[in-house]
Amino acid sequence: MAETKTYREALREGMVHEMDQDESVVLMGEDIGVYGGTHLITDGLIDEYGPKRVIDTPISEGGFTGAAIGMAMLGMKPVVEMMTWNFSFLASDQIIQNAAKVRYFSGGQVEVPLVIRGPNGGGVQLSAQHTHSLENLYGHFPGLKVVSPVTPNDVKGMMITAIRDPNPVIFLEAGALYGTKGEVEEGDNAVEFGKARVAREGSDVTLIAYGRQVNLCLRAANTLEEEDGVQAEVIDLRSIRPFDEDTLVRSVEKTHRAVTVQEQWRWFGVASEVAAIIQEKAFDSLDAPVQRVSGAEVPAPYARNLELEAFPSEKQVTNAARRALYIEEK
Amino acid sequence: MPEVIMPKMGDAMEEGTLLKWLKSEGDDVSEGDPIAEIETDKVTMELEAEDAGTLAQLIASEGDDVPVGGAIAFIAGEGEEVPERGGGEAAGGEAEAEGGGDSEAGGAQATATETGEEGAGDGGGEAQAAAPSGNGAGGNGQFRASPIVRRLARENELDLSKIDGSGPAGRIVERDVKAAMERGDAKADGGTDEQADGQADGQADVAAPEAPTEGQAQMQGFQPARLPEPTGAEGTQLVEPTRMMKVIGERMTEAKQHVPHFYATVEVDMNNAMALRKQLNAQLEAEGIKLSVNDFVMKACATALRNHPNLNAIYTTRGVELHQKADMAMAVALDQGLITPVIRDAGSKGLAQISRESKDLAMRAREGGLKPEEYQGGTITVSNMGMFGIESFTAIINPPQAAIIAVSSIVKRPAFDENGEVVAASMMKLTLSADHRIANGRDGALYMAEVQRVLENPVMLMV
Repeated sequence: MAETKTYREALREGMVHEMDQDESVVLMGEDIGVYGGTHLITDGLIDEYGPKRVIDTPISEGGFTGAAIGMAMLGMKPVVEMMTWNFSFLASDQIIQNAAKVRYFSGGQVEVPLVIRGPNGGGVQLSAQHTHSLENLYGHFPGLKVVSPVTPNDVKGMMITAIRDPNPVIFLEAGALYGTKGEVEEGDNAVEFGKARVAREGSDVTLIAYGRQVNLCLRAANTLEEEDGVQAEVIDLRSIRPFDEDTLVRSVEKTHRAVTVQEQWRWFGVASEVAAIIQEKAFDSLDAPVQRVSGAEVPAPYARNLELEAFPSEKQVTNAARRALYIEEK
Repeated sequence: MPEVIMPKMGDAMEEGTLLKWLKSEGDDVSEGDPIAEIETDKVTMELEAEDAGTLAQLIASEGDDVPVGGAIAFIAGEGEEVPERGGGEAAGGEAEAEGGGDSEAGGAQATATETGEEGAGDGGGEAQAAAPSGNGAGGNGQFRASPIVRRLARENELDLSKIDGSGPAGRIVERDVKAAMERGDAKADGGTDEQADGQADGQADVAAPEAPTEGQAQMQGFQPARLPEPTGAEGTQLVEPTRMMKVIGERMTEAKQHVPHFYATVEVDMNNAMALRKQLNAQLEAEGIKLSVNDFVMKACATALRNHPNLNAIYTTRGVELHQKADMAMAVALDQGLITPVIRDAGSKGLAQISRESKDLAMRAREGGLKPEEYQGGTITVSNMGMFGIESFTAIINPPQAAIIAVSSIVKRPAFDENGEVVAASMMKLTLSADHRIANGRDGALYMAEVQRVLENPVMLMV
């Protein structure tokens, strides 16, 4: 049975599913209780589960993230909301220095089953300080798992997996897509980490993305089919760490061309890592250099027209694919 | 695997010429036996066997240019078969083995360089001609082709030279190969026999020098289109430049094109130096030492550098490297070319030692017996044509050095002394060529004046 739900509803459903199964699952964050959450993800949950399981915290990311790490070390399963991932800079010391390393420091004796979740990336005119894509930052550190689901079904299934995971999980939501709808499986639809999803099958070029840019790639794939008769395959990475190299390599072995797309800045980004993996693992299958499409190298602008210019566009993606196919750009 | 490879005899060496086989196919060889003569751009030397066994296969032919690390021959141990060659990847792996070692030219490091993809495909230069078919990518190192194209060529035995690339800069891309496969006109040519014949034909033509490749021509500063074809007229003779001449040509062209030369000439009164030389030689006769004028000049040039370090310098990627010690290269003319062996730290050596070393180096240079370390790494050069009665000449800088000094003949002629009286003088012209990126005219002038002062007051050579 599958029902059409919004990304927001599916995300809440994933958390609720686990809260019902396991009393040690608690939610923490700024204004998530009485107010219902800035993005209304946790709306109504305090009435159902009470203030001991839906905890309003002070405006102190470093403090409540540290507290949640301590709770996790002692057996709780906190799900911490960052109002946006931009505020996690204040908590990054706790995340990187403690959450990611306690298990290692303790020789595996102490686990940190912690989920930190919130909206990542931009696209809704929040300007420079509130528009960051942090997947490469957190994906850099061993000890953290980093996921970035784009469909409602995946956001539910990956939230269930994240809460069950004994390690700290950085859960990057597509903030601009909370209202988008899609079919969501009922009940336990846990989605395994480290498995990419083939969002569209194709034979001529592979477009690789995660989060919001997957939808951009799907639109670009349709355009390529209509205008150029090109069958593009779209791969949704879903999970940044652990990373699914096999699906990627299989696809490029089939298509011989790849375009990697990311919203974040070009330098040191996930797209670069993807390009490197492809040339290492599928070199003999490549017919063209792997193309990268990234955000413009500027702090995110506020003005709508400039913001649109600063993020990857459908045209950039289709033209990158055309370059890889040695056909004329449009 | 006892494969004999072209050793690396110096940092800059990329290939060598197999001049002559000293053993024949089927001969038994012991470790250390000379098996071939090879020529690099600097020396001719004997290549010794590193393993004992039967010289089962001569892979390179006399006259072949073989890249460093490329296979020359195969020595089979007891019961060992000559391996199939030309499997592409396998050859690349083998080339990483150590080879060469102690040769007559002495202790040169002979580790083969990594050959990488291109080398793997080529299976070692000329040896490739003997390779069996199936290495479609073999001759393709020079083509721009995408990885999938190279793989398709390998798998389908295609000759990429027959396919036009439609990608950027003529890159051969997948669709070009697919189209060629449909047309069926890109198959690599037949098998071993045919290719072996081709090689034999090539040898028969050896008298005719090859037209320079584009790369060579560029290095030599020629525009291929402007080079005339040989006229072939009566009374002409076509001579193929030796490897050494090619290298000299390339380096001198590079120097003249890329190094901004300036020149400064002084005329030195050599009376005092000649008198001192006569006196010293009389004293040293018993020891069998005879100092030459050139020894005085080299010593003076080195001594004068003490106060002019920017003429004892190397132009490097990251700036000008000034050297304290003057490693003085001296140009030695050979029958076919020239070489510049180096007297290390000439400034701190006495005249007698400079004399001994220069005689030894010059003699061995003419015999082709110099070790690479003996002719590499000079910091300044002296070129002496005094013995040919030359009044004056200028020399081309030997990059990356900053300067070269051209030494001309001593000419007896009248001159004025300090009282204005006409006296007989022995005058010699010295011309400095210096790199204007490193030194300015004033530096050159002051340095040459210092050389002049030292030679005219040769007691300065003693301090």
